[in-house]
Amino acid sequence: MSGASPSVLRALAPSLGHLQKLLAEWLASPRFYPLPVIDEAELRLAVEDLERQAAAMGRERVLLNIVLMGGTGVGKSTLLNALAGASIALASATRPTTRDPVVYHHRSVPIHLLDRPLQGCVLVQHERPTLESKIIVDTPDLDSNEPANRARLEAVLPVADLVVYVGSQEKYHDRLGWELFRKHRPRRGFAFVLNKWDRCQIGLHGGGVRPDEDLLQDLQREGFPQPLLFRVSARAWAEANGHEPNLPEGEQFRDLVEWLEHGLTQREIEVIKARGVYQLLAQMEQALKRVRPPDLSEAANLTRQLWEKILNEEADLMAETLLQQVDQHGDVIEGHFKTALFRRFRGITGFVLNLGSKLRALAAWVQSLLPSSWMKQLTVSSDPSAGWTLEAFCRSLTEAVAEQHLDARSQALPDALLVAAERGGFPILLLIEQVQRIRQGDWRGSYLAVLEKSLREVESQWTSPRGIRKALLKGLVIAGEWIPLSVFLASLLYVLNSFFPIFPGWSTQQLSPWGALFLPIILVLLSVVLVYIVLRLLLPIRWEKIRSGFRDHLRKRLCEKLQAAYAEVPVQVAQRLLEERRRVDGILDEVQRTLTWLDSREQGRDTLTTAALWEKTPTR
Amino acid sequence: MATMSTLAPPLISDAALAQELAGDLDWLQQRIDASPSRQAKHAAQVRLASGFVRNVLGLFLQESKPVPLHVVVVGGAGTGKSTVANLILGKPLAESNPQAGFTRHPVAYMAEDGTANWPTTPGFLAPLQLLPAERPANLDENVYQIRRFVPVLGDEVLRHTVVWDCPDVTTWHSVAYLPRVLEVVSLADAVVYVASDERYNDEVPTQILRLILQSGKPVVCVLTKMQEADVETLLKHFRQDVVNRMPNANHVAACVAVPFLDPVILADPTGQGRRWREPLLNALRNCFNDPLQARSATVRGAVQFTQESSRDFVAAVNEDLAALNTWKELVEQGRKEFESRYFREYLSGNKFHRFDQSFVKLIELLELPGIGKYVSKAVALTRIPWTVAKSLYQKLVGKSTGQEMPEEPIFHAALRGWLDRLQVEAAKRSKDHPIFAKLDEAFKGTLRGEVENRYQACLPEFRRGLEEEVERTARAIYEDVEKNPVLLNSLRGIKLSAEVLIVLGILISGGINIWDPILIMIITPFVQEITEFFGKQYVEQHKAGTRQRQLELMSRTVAVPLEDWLARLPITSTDQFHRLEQVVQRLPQNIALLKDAVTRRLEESRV
Repeated sequence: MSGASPSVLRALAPSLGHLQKLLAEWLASPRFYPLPVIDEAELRLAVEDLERQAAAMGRERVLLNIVLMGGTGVGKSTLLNALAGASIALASATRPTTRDPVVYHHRSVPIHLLDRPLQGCVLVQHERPTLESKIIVDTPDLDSNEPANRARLEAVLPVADLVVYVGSQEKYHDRLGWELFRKHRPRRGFAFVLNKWDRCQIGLHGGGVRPDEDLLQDLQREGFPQPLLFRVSARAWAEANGHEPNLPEGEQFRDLVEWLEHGLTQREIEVIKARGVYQLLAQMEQALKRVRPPDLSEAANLTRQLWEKILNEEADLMAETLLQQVDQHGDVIEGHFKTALFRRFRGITGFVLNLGSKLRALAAWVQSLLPSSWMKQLTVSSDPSAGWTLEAFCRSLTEAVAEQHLDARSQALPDALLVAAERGGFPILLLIEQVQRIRQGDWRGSYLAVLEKSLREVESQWTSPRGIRKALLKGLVIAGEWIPLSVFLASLLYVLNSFFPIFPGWSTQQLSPWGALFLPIILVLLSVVLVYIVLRLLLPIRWEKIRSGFRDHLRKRLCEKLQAAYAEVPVQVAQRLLEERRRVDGILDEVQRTLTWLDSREQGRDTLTTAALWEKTPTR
Repeated sequence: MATMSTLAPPLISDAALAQELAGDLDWLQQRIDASPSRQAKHAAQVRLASGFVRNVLGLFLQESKPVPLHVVVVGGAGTGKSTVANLILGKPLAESNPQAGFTRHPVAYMAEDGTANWPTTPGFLAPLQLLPAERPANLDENVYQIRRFVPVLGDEVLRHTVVWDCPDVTTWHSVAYLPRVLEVVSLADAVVYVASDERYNDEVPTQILRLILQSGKPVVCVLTKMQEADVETLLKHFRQDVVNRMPNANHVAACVAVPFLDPVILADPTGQGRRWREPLLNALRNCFNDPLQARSATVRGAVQFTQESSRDFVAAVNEDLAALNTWKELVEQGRKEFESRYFREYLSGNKFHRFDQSFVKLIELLELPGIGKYVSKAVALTRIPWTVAKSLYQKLVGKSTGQEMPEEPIFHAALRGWLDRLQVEAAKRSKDHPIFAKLDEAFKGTLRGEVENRYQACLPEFRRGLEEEVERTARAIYEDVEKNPVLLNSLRGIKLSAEVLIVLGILISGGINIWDPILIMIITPFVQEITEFFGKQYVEQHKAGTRQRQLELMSRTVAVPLEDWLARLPITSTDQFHRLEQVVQRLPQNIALLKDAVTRRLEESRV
């Protein structure tokens, strides 16, 4: 990752900005596919990081944030004081000490160019040209009984380009510090300082490994074969006041200063920066791959097939159940159909045939006048002829069936569908919400509508027949209108003739007054009965016959209803997932393009420093 | 579970009790380690308690010979625990070197000519093995070693005391050997807590200090490595900032300082180091003034700590218990729905045709036997027109009674509904708890087949019970009347006299005329109808009773066994949850039993 020149960094800035925008928009948009909390947090951090890096790289001058991190008492502040050659950070014997991070930076760096978490810290300016582009931050401890200190440290760490892990003879591999190191090492470069070097060499006769060797072993295990480690006695330097301090053997404070001042050249800084970005992008790539919604198109099709089968079966069963309830009221439906058929008839036949329903209406009217409480008990009877409407009939039927069967079935159906989806390779969790919502719909209302509609359709089939039956009915209607009328007129003439012979030569029997009155009526009624008998013979209305047609209608409509509600859900969800997947892929492509571009700029040679600062070259 | 807890606790020996309790606590601690929200605090607490049961209470109940007192030196890495141990011992026996976290297993220092015996109780320090010979202290295994030494003259306290040098509690390695430290801490009669000038206000060691103080042990705090000039400042700050914020701060017997000392001084603790050694040793002498009392204080503290934290133990596995309960509730809900579907969809619509026969038989019974048969026949004759008219009407109107739903598909649909719901719920929660993840897996596997088998296995018993039930009830309808001659005859009498009276009344009132037969033919069927009406009511009542009983039968033979089996699935499919149930149930019991035993023993020893 060498060869990163300012022009490389500046060229990188816009694409980082673009990525940041893409990612932020995606995170802010409503998502269907669940994003695990941990991944979301990581990506949100990445957004902030991208924004920061894009801004930093767009500038003329690239700054390097170096953060000192370590437990309380390891001597971070003393180290910074020694580096500064003055007491700028509070160091004392009582623990813990540093409350606010101390930022040590060159006078020429304006505050607004510091990263936001650094701006609120204690700012100490210097005029050392060798540290012009380096911002050194002393942080509070990470392991004391003061949790706020750790929080302050963790607020600063995200802006670190380079972390100097400061350990002492006691604390060079404490768990808390080590965990933090492990958490941040994929993103940041790490250098190590073993402070209190003087104490590391006392008592070696008691066995054990010297702390620096112990630490090097630990680091090797963590993937740092040749870490940058400085053995330092910061206290001696801080207290030297410009004099030559009395140093134990192998003390490397000078090397540390040399590295900070001259080792970290502008070019080196840029390499570190570019590497940081590279690590960030590589991490983003992994995270995005993890949260990328799956492509479930195939599973959706399979699930859809499974569902259609289940829904068909369910519709059949429901139709059968409804039908069985309707069966008990076959006579009522017969009666209703007949009434409807009779309404086609006009004249005397029509009057006589419709007399029945008129009487029922009258009875209903009378009933409505009576005290309701006692009437109710009578009208609850299964024959709802009084005040009967198809809608009310259907409603009471639906409610009865729903109570007994359908409610339970429509609650159980979604579960069966979800289980089938699982078999079809579609995760239940992705469907559960949609299906649950459909389950909560007004299914009773739907069943009612289906029942009523089916009945009406069957009714129109039976009362407005087609083809020959239509002609038959028409003939009968005409016959019904004219035959009784002609019979009536004929008998009237006959009666008249018997009293006042109008037609000479037509001798009629002398009738009694009663006979004269009843004869036409009886004849007319007989003719009506004749028409009725013919009607029943030619166009019989029997529940058994109506039933099968009704069942087909019920089935078809129920099936349509269920399919409309459920069948499309898997495909829709898969579609939605696919859209989200494409969006993630878009971001992923952008990340990968930037990574490839960075790869192509790489001259294939790590500098000594970067090789030491990072665990190993990331492989993609 | 309910039946288990009402049983009297089994009588087991104190040794077995301690062993079982320690085993349960160890298991619980592993469970906490494996739980999704691993709570380190609880894990350490449970670990310490199991150590108490093994090394203090079990020992106290079983060991008859005098046992030594234990001083345990603990602290962060590099604070100089070994240095402090050497100061106490009066000789540089422990390896003291600059590597942070050198010591990896507990090392006991015991006076060669001491007065006490090393305990031989089984279970004592069971998780650690005693090394047969002296080995370097950085051996990183679950072991401990005993190093014998001859105390300096005048150090009487060391003759009946074992001094333990422990590994650290702060390095990243320490996660692996913290259990060893806690095991040894548990048996301590006094703890020496070592904190350096770097570490005295650190979070991790402070948590350990807090735990130790909670257990009621006396603690001697040693601040190390500061410059001599800072001794007073640091001691004051430590007391203020750390000790005073602790629970049981009064158990801190002393706070002493050992500044950063030259190796030469350290090599000669009784001579040049005497200045720093004496306060330390005095503090220990104070703790162990009366060895017997010191021991019983340890025992009492152990009992109290174990009992007080027993609620925390269970709370630590609350997630597991909550998940188990949720599952049980889901299964129970499903069972209720299963039963109610069976009742609504099948039973309530079932006509029980067997009962129709009983009805006919019942009505027949009401006809007169013997000579009265002819009277009955005669009356029956008068009903013929009505009967004919009635059957004609029924044929004409032809009200179909509707078919019954067959039982099998309803049963199956209800069962499938139950399982579907459970599978969906398990899938929904599969990310929340491993129990549900396991169940989700099981549903994707062969679980449904197993349930089906179980269901099929339940059916024969149910069917047999059902047939018996219907037959018995149907028979009872007429047999009840048949077997009760008084009732039967009076019913017959009432009916007959009503019929005869009406016929006679008609004949007498209007005198004999043409309308009489017609009136009779109307009235006698009326009486018959009334009789049949009551008969039907009677049969219906029995039907309702049968329905209810059949539901109960189904519940007993099919639904409840399936529910039990399903509810116990997580328990039976993995040992873990079976053990969990056991442990949660018997832990408080065993702790109480152990407490009783220890209290008894303490009383005895006082007498």
